[in-house]
Amino acid sequence: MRLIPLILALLVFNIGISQTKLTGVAVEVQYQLDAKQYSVKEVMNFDTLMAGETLKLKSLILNGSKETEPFIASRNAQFKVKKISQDLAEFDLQVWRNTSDNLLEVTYLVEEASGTTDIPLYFTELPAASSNEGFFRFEMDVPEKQSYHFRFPSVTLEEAMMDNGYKKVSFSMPALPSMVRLSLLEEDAEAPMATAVIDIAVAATFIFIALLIWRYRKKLVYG
Amino acid sequence: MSWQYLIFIGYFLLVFGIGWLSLRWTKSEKDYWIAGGKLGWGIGGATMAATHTSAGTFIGTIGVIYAVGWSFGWVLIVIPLAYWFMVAVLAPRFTKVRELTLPAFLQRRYESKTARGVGAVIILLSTVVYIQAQIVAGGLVANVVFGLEPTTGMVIFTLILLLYTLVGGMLAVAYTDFLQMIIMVVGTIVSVPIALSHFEGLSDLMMKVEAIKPLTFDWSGFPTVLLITLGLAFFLGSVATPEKVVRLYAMKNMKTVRRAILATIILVTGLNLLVFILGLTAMVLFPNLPTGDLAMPIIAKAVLPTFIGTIMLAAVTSAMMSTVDSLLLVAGSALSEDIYQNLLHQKASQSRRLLVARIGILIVGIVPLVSVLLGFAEGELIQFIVVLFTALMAAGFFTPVVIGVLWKRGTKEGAIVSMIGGVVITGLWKAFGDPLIYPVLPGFLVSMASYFVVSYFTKPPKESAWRPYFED
Repeated sequence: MRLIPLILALLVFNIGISQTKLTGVAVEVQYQLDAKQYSVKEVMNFDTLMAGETLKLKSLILNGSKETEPFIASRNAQFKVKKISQDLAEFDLQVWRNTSDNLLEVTYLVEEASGTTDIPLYFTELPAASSNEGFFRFEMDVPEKQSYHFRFPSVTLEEAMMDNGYKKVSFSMPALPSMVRLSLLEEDAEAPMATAVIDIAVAATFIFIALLIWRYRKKLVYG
Repeated sequence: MSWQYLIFIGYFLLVFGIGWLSLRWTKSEKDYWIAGGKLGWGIGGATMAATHTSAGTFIGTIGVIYAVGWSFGWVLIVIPLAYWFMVAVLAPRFTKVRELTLPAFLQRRYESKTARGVGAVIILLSTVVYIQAQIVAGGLVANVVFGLEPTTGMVIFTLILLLYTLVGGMLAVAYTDFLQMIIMVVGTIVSVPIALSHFEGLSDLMMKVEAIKPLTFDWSGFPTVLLITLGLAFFLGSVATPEKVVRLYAMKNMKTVRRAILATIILVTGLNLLVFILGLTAMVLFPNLPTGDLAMPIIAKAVLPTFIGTIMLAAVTSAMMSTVDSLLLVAGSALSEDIYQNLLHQKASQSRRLLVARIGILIVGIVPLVSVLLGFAEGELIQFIVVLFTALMAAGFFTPVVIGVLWKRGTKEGAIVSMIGGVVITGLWKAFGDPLIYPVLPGFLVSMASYFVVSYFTKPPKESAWRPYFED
């Protein structure tokens, strides 16, 4: 029964509650070859941060990835660690003044795991303001000859060479994911083709079903 | 042009091809409205299941689970029960006399043109509400997949739908429903393990969901009274909404109906269970969505491989289309058969009636689009627009249809008062009543009470009215 007020407000009455919303998130990741770790800077944009508001900042604790405690910077909020459960890191942030500068910057390091590394991203309980394509922007700098494979999210990647011997891998999508899952491969190694194989298998299944339907079409339609 | 565009375009070309073939096979009004009454259980079951599995399932149910948690599952338990009721109680008598539309049944059973006209008006009003939900969902899919503005997506979605429903009639609808059901089933079965591959099994997913949204697995997440009344809306709506019962007329005989309904129960229940898992997956992978209704489109776009993701979205779009095309057809028949021919122009030719129907389909398709573009139902979760439609239909039709074939004494006056009372009270309760009680309950109670009371105090119907439905 604890959810009654929420349900009534959100679902039945359809009242638009005025609350802070997340307007966009940008993540910059730098792969540090020597230290075998990823340096992550996540910048969250909000429409308004009201004085007295409490923001909960959370991230999943993922198996195989060791993450340092984040440094959270904002001119508007103080934070204290509230709880770290088995599956979730959670921080409470107290907003202490209204301001038009509504950025929240979180920086942390994630150790590279053997095989696939999960980079957890911080999220809040606040809803996103939109689902526009550029809502979430991810950029990662990796050595120029480094091959990689993104397991999640499944998106089209862009690549641009930089002057410093690194290349920038980036993508945009309409929502903030709770993690990015990727593997760094041996130089010039081909990325795994598992998803392509699944796609082809499913397409073949549809063709097979189509042939079966055509073969038994009269029986199927008229019983 | 991206693969996603190509897959969508290829899919819609296939659908139009089916519409065109169906046009060639449509020789009569009976073919147009009820596919000649000769569908087998395979196509019959698939078209019934596809009509049930609309955006309400693939976008709405996932959206509610994302927003509130799985206590909504209580509501879905009634669906198999409803279809069992349909096949065991309603269908054997309802299909004794094969009509073209549900209002035509009302006229036959109650020997009243007015009852038929009232039924047709209720269908037209409710259909406008329902199509709005599907149009909103179409806009969301277009927004996430193609980056189109939601309003542009809504317009394109509506135009495609109108085009092929206008052309093909029930034959086109039944065949495309079958195609869409195959895509939905295969797509969902493949999607679940892929989504789960980002977790160490189902228990890991559940632990993470619990950590992010602790009340997700609280069975009392929804208020009990609301759950029960929502369940009632689903039950009544699954049994006696026009787009479903008219499919009973489209099937060959009762043996076919029984098999088709069994297939429907298996398909609908299985798909609902699988989309539950997708809803939970979205909670963990995308915890900050602006609305739960985006959960499925975003999973298809960012979790699944390109082909499967796009074909799943085509399936979601299909689900919406299969429901809207069925409703457009029902609305078109209500206008041409039940209002135009029945009340205005009894000697209208067949071609004239089909023309009126097509104009009606066009109007009933465009009115909700305009309404949505003007901001009606803005911010409402899709599932709740769907349930409002179900409530209106259920409160209007369950009593005169189901009780009508079970109780000989039901009169035309009872049926008319029951339909009007049920719909009016449902609408008034939605606007002014206690939100903890879903409006179908008061609407249904008023409909039942007025049917029995008015029937009891009015002249009993002639034997010719009820006899066909009570013969062994």
